[in-house]
Amino acid sequence: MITKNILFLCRQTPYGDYRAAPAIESVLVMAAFDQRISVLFRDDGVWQLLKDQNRNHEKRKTISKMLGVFAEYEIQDVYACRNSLSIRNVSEDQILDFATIINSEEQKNLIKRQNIVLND
Amino acid sequence: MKIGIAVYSDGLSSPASHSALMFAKAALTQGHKISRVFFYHEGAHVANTLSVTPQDEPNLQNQWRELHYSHGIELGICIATALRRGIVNQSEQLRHNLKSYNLDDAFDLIGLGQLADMAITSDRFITFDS
Repeated sequence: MITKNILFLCRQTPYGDYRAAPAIESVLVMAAFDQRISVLFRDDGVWQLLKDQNRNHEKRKTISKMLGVFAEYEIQDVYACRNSLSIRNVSEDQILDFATIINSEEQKNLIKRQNIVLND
Repeated sequence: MKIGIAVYSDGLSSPASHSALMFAKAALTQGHKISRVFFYHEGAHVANTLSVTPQDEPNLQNQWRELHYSHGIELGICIATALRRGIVNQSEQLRHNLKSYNLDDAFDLIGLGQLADMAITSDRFITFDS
């Protein structure tokens, strides 16, 4: 099996147009294929990282719970865009602990290291 | 070069699906191989045989069909995406007890595993999004 560096660029709101949840499912499937996975949340995608989400009342999947299984799939390279958080007034302590906040330069280098970049 | 293509958009809400088709034709003309086209999200609508395109407008479904039958390109629709949007083949019709099926015969319903396989085994992977 070939192993590639694959980055998922998650830019959708968690519950806006039903694209975030299928994208997270794709991340998990790709991880099951033993690839080196990174996930970058930026633009409206940073909303997916908020703690204490609960959509059970709508019988929808809670995105933060889906993200909670990343560690079990050995997905450790999870990033959030500093600027996207800042312009939405989301602070570091409001987002899930396992996400590392990175600036534009670091995101550029992250993308450069990839064989494939997939968006959600 | 072996190229994988993903299409996330239908033919009405953005030019992405048209662009993907143009790209696929251009790539084939230049001698590249297209391993598979994966239709995800709104991209699934292209396989609906119950949609009717006016005669004076480009018919994306027919053009993808032509590429499938002339070049053997596999056209795969994400099964979860398709079922949510009412795009079903006969086996899914029977499984879910639906009134009819409408998946074009050039297209298959496939899983995310095949998306992963395509991404891993292609030399280049390109997504056409809205």
